[in-house]
Amino acid sequence: MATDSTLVIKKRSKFQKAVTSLTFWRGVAALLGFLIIWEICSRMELWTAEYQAVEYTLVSSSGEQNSIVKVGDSISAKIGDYGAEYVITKELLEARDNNTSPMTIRNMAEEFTKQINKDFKIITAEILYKNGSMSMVLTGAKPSKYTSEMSINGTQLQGVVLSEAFSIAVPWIGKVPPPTEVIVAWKEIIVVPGYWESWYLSTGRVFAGFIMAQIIGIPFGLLLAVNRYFRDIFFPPFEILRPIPPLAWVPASIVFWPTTEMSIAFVTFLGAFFTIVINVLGGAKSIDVRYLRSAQSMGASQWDLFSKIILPGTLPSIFTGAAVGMGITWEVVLAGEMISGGGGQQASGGLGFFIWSSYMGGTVAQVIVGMISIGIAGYLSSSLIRFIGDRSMPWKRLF
Amino acid sequence: MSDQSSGQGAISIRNVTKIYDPEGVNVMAVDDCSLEIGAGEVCMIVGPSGCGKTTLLNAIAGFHSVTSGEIFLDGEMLCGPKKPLADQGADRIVVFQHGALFPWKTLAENVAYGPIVQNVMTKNEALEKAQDMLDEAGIGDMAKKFPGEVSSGMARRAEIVRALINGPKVLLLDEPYRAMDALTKSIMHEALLEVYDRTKVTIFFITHDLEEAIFLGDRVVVMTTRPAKTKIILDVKIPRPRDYQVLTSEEFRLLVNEAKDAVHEEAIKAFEAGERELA
Repeated sequence: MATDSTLVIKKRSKFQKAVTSLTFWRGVAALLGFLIIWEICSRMELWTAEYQAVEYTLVSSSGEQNSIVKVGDSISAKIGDYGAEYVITKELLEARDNNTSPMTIRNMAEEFTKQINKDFKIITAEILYKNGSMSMVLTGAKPSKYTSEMSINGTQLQGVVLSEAFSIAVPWIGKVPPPTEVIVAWKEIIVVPGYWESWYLSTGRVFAGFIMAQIIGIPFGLLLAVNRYFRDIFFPPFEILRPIPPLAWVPASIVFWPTTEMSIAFVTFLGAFFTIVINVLGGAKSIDVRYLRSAQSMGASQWDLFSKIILPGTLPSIFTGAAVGMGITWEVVLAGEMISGGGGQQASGGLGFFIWSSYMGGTVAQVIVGMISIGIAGYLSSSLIRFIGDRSMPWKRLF
Repeated sequence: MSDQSSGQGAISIRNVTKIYDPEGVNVMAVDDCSLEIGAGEVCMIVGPSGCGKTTLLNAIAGFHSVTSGEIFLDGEMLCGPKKPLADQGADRIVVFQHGALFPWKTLAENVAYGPIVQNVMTKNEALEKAQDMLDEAGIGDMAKKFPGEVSSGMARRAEIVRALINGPKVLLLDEPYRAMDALTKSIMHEALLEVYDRTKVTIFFITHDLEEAIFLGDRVVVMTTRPAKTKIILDVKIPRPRDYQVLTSEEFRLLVNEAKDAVHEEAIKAFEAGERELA
């Protein structure tokens, strides 16, 4: 192609070009900035939360609870989702009786703090000992979504708030889990085979519907463009069906098709089909009449006109339609999976169902993992289409 | 080169009228126009914008029908009262205003298109011949490039080669060098004259540019504003082959002045009518 030109310009790879371009780094900076702002927004409440201390009396000096607390009793403390169990030891009771061995007590409190803070290092537990009574103080950032509680052998203790908490939360966006949490969730999910199976299932459905839409849509669009009778007959019903959103077809297709899998594929097909046909039709109709005229004046037959002028002339529109159609297909597959419950018993998951079940399970970070997964899948699919488009339209690659 | 023999390609336009009827508003584009173009003649058609020059060309090429009148090519009727739309054929090939090389084919593939679709050559033969003809036209190096990769001048030359490979009797050129800068234009003129001297193909050339018309043509037909009729016909007796010395000659200057007067008058009429250009 262009390589036998006399002009010699050292070719740089796409990657080299990308990493040396300002555009690329601007994009990276924007993305990082976005993530940082997101992180800040969702962590704002935690970061700005003042520490709240709540005191729970384990053993009072009046002796009433003396009889309750004995060696082997279990104390559980909880702030938010984080908590630990602690078992009353002999040493602890002796320390109370003797008013001594503060070291042991401190050690135990530290250990308790460690347990509580395994993942979340903002809480401290402290055992206080005064005037013959023993109490534990839980101190920690206590945003509105966390409550602290403590119980002995399952009996909830009454806490005394020593200092009130206060925090600043970013409305709405503050409820979204921060990127770091999403990454942690992703790291956990990436080893689960079910996650990859979801990828596999959704991708399979997308491509099945998409390829069927291409196989039927391209000839259909071309026929609409070149044959007036065909257009007169099929265009009006096509135009009536086209505005019906693919999702509106879901109930009908579940009734109509024998398996859920088939109805998802059908709805997916519809999503891409209409876009593809409209693009092919528009592309074929907008071929410059001069090309047709000069081909005809050079003696082209109807078939030559079609195969050598109309088809290559429509290719750019075919690929535009494919790119748009691919996006819609992903949309539809996901929605279809959510609505149909991921294909019932015989077929599992899909990324749409993955999101839905994560949402139902209350793990918002996983929902976001699912969303980003779809973004990546969609990007890969459109890249594939762009790649094929570049290969099959060498004359377009030049610009 | 092609099997072009002189004595072919005479066009006879007899009393041609064309009325466009979009939405019931009759627009007369060509009114009772008659013109005899001899075989191997370069006939330049000059007239104000929208006067109906292109309509005439379309009628010859078979893109549009005529309302009345007849057009003959070498004594055979192309279109007439019984058959208002001429058949399109490789004997009359059009080179368009903005160029119509197929953007998805290389220059060589473009040139080879005619012989391939007419089944007169195999694909390889046609491509070989195309390469030869592009070499002859001095753009052989560009044969493997796409039209989008070459300058408009190169593209237009390739387009003329694409027409010539079919051995046409008539070349119909519709302002092919419009919107080109003066330098490119002069190179294109020389290239076209070179082709003409080689093939003696009949050329029906529409233009706005009077100097171009007189420099290239055997006859310059000045059309009236719409509806088009022949206003005057200037004979250009400057001997061929012509080169750029001609442009400074007294004879050339006088012809340009004469044509200018005729066209100017029509241009004012067209401007005052203030109507939009009709295809």
